[in-house]
Amino acid sequence: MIGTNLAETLFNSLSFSSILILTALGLAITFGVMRVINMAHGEMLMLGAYTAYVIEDRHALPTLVRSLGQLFGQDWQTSFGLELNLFVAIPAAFLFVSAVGYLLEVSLIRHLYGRPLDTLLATWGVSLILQQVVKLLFGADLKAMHIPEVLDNAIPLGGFSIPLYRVFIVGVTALCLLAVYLWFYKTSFGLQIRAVTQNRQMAAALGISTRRVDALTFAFASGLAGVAGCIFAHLYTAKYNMGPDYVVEAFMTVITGGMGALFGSVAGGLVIGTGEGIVEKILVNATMAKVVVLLLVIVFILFRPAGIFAPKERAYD
Amino acid sequence: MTEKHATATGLVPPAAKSAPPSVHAPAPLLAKLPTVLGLLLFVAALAVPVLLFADDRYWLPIITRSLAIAIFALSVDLVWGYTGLLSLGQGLYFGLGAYMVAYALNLQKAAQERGGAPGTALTDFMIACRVEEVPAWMAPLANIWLAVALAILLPTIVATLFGYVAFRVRIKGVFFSLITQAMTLAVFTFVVNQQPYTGGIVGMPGLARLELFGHRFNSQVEMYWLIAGSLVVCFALCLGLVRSKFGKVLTAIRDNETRTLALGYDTAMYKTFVFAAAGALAGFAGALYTAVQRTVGPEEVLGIGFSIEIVILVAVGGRGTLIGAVIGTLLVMLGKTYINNELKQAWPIILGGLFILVVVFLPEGIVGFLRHALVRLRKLWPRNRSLVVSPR
Repeated sequence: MIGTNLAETLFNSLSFSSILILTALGLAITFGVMRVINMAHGEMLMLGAYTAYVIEDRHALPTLVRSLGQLFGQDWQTSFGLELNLFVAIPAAFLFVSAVGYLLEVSLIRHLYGRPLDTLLATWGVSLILQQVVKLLFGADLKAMHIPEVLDNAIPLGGFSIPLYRVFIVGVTALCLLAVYLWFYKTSFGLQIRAVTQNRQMAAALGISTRRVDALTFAFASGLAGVAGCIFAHLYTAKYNMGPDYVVEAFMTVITGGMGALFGSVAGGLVIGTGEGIVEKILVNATMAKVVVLLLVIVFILFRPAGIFAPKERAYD
Repeated sequence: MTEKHATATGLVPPAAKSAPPSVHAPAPLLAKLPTVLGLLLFVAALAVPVLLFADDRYWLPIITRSLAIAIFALSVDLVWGYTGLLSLGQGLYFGLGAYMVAYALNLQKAAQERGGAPGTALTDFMIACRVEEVPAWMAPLANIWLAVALAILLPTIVATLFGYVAFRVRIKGVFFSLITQAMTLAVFTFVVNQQPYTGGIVGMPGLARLELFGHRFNSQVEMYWLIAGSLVVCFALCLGLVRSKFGKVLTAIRDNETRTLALGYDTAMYKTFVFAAAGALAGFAGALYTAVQRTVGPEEVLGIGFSIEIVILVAVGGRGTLIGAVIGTLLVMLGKTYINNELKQAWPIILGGLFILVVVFLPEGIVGFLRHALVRLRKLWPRNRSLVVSPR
């Protein structure tokens, strides 16, 4: 029995961790490395989820066209809708949300570099607008999506079974991490990103277009959030106001891991996820487990503001 | 820019303990005249809604509610506008205050409906959750005075503890914002989850009317005067605080904390104090808000969206000016009501746009903008022409 309990807790912890890491990965780049406070990160997830909805649900496109028509006072109708699956939705979400992120960086965030608190407020404004636009276009109801049959299984393992989709999430998280690692440390563009974040002026003096680097990095990070949103839409549901639920946890994950260290967020996610797995086992109540872990994280940050992997800095602002 | 500001505040190092505090000579009565006149004007302006809307059952409650929120905005302004600490969790303190009074009014309502002494009758949410009797910690809250006292004390204690730790380890800027936000989210989730004791996501609707000294606040006009009077008192207290030397230190911390520290001020203690004071103010505002609204729900007072919205109210009016906080609140709250009536779905988009526009184009808010415009006008047109001596 103890063995089963342990295995179940361990797997739940791994599953929670992978969800957290996937949520926070984009933020680890924009917030941890670029130092941009993007409160609309949660809405990037939401847009990814709705991309999946449009791609997978036959009724999505007709609803979209009808709502657009209503906005312009026209009577637009179509019965055409896509009915593809998750494996198409993931790259589509990445591309679409990257594009949105690119536009956001170029039109707004670029003008607010060096003013973190103002960026915070402005991006909160963006998140309000995105939420309302999606609500107007698709309605306020929950959108449930089907997991592809290949993944809609469970692996029996002694006393309990592991949903295959959770294993899939762990796999996708690992793949995303690998992609980020390769991009950051094995490509010349990654070298440019690191150069720009270390010393912007010097990088610019050496002929790196810092604006291009900023915009593309931000777009890539947003795309990762889109992928995460697409995955979570299948795990839970999609809703226009799902973003804020994720964004606070994501920020806490990045801070816990330590700013600046890209893979600190991985450690942060593992620590918080494991904490949730263990506390949930003790308290039974999953929501209270979240509360307890969140409070523990706050206390941890208060006493160790530098996070697990402390970069060599003195003030944290 | 920061250096200029730090000198503009005219800070001097704290005097040695033995030396007499001769930093500020007592201002002559005449110099205080503009302040007194301004306060009188403020009070007079507060009388206008009652004269115009005394019989309006729709707008007067909304204005009353906005005034309660304005007190809350003052608290955000103290912390953010004057000290530069962007707290995204002021709703936590507001919510604590709101829930304390809500417990009182809910227990009183239960006693009126089901009989028995206040504090023994079960409330609606307890019955819904099959709670057998009123929890021992909740029963004394049926006394409104105890509830109001706790509505102020509890936020003060929480804010002091949190501020003391956070400022000691020098958490500031964005980190401070995000941690305060996480705190609020934790409490929000807790309150929603503990339905037998908090009413869960529904909260406590349909509360009893406020009763003080055996007098029941039945009419909206009475309620309005209670809130407006509270606002005037809070405003005057805040004004006294920011005009004092203490206030100057706060502004100095905002503009250049390292320099203020180097001048010998214990900035962490100053920040803890102002955070605690703002917590008390927020709790009081929450108490009043519940009394006006006669309903409380976690989404409205503890949600993370609410706390950020208050920040934008202050930003619209003008951060770092008390009157700006009040003006911004009234403008945005009334605008929200108006737009919600006309175009139901447009408000979040307009509010979002407001966030972006104010940050990008009007960082000093309406009052700051007007002030600058006034200064520029004065430069164009010297005030004392007779004193301009022409060269011989």
